[in-house]
Amino acid sequence: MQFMVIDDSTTMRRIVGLALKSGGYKYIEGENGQDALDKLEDADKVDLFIVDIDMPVMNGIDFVSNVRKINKYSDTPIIILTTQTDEKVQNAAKSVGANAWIVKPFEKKEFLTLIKSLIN
Amino acid sequence: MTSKMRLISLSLLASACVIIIIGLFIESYSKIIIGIGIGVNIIAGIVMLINQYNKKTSDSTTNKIKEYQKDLKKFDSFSKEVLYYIKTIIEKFNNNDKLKEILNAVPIDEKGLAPIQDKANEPESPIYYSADKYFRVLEDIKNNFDINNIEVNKQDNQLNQEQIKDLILEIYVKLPYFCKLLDNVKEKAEQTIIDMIDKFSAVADANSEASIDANKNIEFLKNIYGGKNFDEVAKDSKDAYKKTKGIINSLISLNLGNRRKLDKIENWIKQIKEMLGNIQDIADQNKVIAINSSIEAARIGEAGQGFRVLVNEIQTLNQKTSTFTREINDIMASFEDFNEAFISDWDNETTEIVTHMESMMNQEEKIITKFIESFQLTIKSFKDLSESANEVDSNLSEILQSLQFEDITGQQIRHIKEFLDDILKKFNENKNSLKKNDIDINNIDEKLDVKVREELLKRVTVLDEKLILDGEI
Repeated sequence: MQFMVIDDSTTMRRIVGLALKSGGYKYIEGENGQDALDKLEDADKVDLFIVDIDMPVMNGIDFVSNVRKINKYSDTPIIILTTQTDEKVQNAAKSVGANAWIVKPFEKKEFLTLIKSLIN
Repeated sequence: MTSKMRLISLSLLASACVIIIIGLFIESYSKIIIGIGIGVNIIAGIVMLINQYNKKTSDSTTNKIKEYQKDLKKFDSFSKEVLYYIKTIIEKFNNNDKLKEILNAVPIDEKGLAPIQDKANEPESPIYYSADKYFRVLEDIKNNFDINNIEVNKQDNQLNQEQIKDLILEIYVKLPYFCKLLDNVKEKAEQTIIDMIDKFSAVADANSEASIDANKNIEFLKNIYGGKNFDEVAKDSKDAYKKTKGIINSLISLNLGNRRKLDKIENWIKQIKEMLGNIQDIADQNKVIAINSSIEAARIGEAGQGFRVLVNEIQTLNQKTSTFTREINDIMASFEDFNEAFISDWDNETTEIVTHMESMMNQEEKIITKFIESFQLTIKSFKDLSESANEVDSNLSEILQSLQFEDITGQQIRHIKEFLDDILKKFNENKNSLKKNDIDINNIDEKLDVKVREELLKRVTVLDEKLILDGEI
């Protein structure tokens, strides 16, 4: 099982990676929405996406919108991990196909529980 | 001879049992020793990593964290100052109601930005309470701040017009320095956190491996004999020990029984020899009688012929008896010699075997006891290791949560930086408008730049920040 962490912050990707590793999951990284889409072309199938909203080049909402257009990712679970609490942005993310929303800083145990529930 | 062979067979069987049992224990021991070895290596690994981490924490990382904390304070102080200036500009020069509304909703005062409050349950509250709302304040100010609306002549009770003009110029000179210092804070913060994550990652990996291995080892030790748990194994071992001890005890009593039988045989040989002696005595007496009878028969002449035949028969019988008795006596003598040698060998060999087996049994008992103690100790060690691994994991979770604030701070810095860049851009785009108000940003007095840098130099703490202010970076 392979996940993808998309965040422009190197530290955040590493922190999320640490949490995923502790849950026994493998992951690949994307530095923004566009970088993630490019990497998906050559990557093995991703089983879950963890996406930040506020990113340069391509933000999280646009990434979700684009990745849902790819057949094999039409129903892959997508978690939005962001500092944003704005309901308008949350609704925008949901409307393009995000499945869950977590506000930073996340708690590892809850994070892993959410992942389990989504991949099951 | 048959008894001796049976005894040797039994002793060999018993020895084989003991060897097998000891062999099994040695196998179990090896597994435990390997298990303990793995555990010890893991613990040693964690201790080494934690020591390394502590060691490094005590120098480079601790220093970095301290610097990072100072940076955050500086960042906080800079951003408060910027907001305060902007608020001052808006209040004093800019008649923009939307901006005033935004600023009134933000807890900014001379001391800076008030702590962000958690008002998640009050979504309608006009107060900007969380990090992203704080960003939106900046965004709102950025979108509504219009240099063209500046009214320098606006009445102000605290500052005269010249002071207001100086303030605007000071802000204009200060902003680029703020931008560079903020960039530096962000960069250093990121480096510090990545450094910390690397170390925590190593600890987390080792901890996770230790936890998995400890639990595997516990399971392995619990099911060491094809699914049997330790209690069953211990019971089996004790039963096997008892059984082996029973065999040895039987062997010892068998030995004693046989020894008694050998003693009886020895006794019987003695009795037979005595009986043979008696027979010989009778034969000797008969011989005397026969000789006397022969003399008497010669003396009585023809009449004694029949009697002589009888005497001859007695003599023949006596000779046969003597020959037979001597032969039996010879056989018994050699049998007696053999029996004595056999008893002597028997005693020596069985004593050696029994002593050896008893010694082995004692060793076996010690091995079983030690095995059980080691086993229990090992299980306890792995349980302790598993528990401590869980504790480390829980600490790591907290650390992970704390580290995420760097990302939030990083975003704050980015937003502040964008905000400052935008303000600077607006200043530059509206030079003419400012000039109308007698604020000439094209001809900044060099003394003002020196004053601003000197003031900032007093606040910076590290070399690279001094270099930034001196224009060397």
